[in-house]
Amino acid sequence: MSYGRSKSDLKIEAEQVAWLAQVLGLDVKPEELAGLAAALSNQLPSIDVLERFDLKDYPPILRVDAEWYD
Amino acid sequence: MTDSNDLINLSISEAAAALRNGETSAVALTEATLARIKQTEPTVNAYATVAEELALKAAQRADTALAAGDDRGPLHGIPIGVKDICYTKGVLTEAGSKVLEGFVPGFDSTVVRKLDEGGAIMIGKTRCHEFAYGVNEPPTRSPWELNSYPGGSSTGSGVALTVRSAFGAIGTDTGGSIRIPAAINNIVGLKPTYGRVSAYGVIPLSWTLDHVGPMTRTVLDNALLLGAIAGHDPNDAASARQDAPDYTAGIQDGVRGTRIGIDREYVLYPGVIDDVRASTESVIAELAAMGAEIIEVSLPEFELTPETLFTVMMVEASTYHRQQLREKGDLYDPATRATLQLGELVPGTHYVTGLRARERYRSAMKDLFQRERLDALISPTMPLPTALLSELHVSRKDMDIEETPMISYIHHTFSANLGGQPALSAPCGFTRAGLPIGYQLMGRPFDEATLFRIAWAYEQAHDWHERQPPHVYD
Repeated sequence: MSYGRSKSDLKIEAEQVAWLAQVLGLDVKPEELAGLAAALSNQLPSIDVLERFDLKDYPPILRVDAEWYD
Repeated sequence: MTDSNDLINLSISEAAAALRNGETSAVALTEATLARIKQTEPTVNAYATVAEELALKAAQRADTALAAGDDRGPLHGIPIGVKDICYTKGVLTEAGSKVLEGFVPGFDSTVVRKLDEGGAIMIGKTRCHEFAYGVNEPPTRSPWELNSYPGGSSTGSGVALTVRSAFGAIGTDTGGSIRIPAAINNIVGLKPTYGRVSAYGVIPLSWTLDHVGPMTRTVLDNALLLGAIAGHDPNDAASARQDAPDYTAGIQDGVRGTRIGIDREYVLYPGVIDDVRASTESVIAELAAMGAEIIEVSLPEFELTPETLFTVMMVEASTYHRQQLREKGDLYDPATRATLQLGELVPGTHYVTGLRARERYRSAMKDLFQRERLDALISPTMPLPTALLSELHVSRKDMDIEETPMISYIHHTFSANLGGQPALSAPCGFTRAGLPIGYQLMGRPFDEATLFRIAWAYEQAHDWHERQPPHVYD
């Protein structure tokens, strides 16, 4: 799996992913569980990078406007 | 002008002129393009589908219309390739996936409809990564280095242009998928402002990050193609209401007084190889010599962009594919399937935090442009040229920090998807190994015209864009 650059000590086990997948109705092949667990272990710490910045004044509203000089 | 090789080497603007002064016809341009496709496809595999019969009929109609005085504009009679995630009525649209094997849409995407209204000839559907996600390996090869990454996800569009099997092409860009194949294949690619080109009828990857845009061999052609496909579309909820201007107006006005920013710490980070660094510095120096003001800037929020983009994109992509993943999971490429599964495991709170981080980034970028009165930001398009396919997902050996080439490729491109601002990649040289290098300009929303003006000025001083890859087809 190519996406994701975060690295941390978070270690999610294949059994935990299997349980999550079952809850969500995802059909994950047994041989793919370990890879998915490793990818999730890398992905979840991304939130720490985002929260290093103060986001309290930024609502989740997407705006693209042309008036950058107004 | 009857020689097929002469015809396929024309730019869109040159072909348009030749059509109008009677030197060629739409049928001749189409036949030359089809012949080039037959010659190059066994090696490069840029097309998923070639619409030979439809294209020839459309070319005959284009010639008849032009002869009758019905001139649809600069794309009239010009063969254009379309990325295979854009719906084309009556033509296979498989998005590089077995999930959609045999799917034929009943209507055209808006971008294809606008091409048709502009008299363009849809020559075929260009290959892409599965659903444009960029995690599997498409069968397309770039003649610049057959064993290396051809760029993606608008892979076939980039390669078709570099081998002259299309005069222009449509790509889509969610994190760099127009600009990366543009840089790798020595062509010009523009990710327009979010909402500038309708995404209606284009299979989504990530609704809030997806952009449809033009890929061409010259800057002028890019402006012409954007002009043909831009504009409001009530069928697309994200479509912008601003009128699309004539993007060629003022393109020759030069760069004197233009203010171009560079955040050296971020865009010339240690992952940028020496040849790319030197080419980028050369572009900056030349633009300065032409009269542009180069402004040193700093935007700490750039650091937010990788995690923000991945979080938002993965969740949105998994949402779109949720039902299909359960019904046809085995038909996805294993890498795509795994990434879609991963997106379902990302908590909703992370997604919303990603949206908030995105707004902080966008706000900071806007403040930077306002504070410094910038017209553009400049960077390399990619920190390195194409890499061997076998090394694409392996940590680079040429740098101390841990990063694969695939992650390096999007370092400079994905921030423009988060901010929604336009970003253009154009050729600026070659590595010592002979591989193309591109530079990127990011601009103000809806100000694509300024990017064209800067890039056109630089292009006039060089022949980078005219250089062709090794002839590897016979």
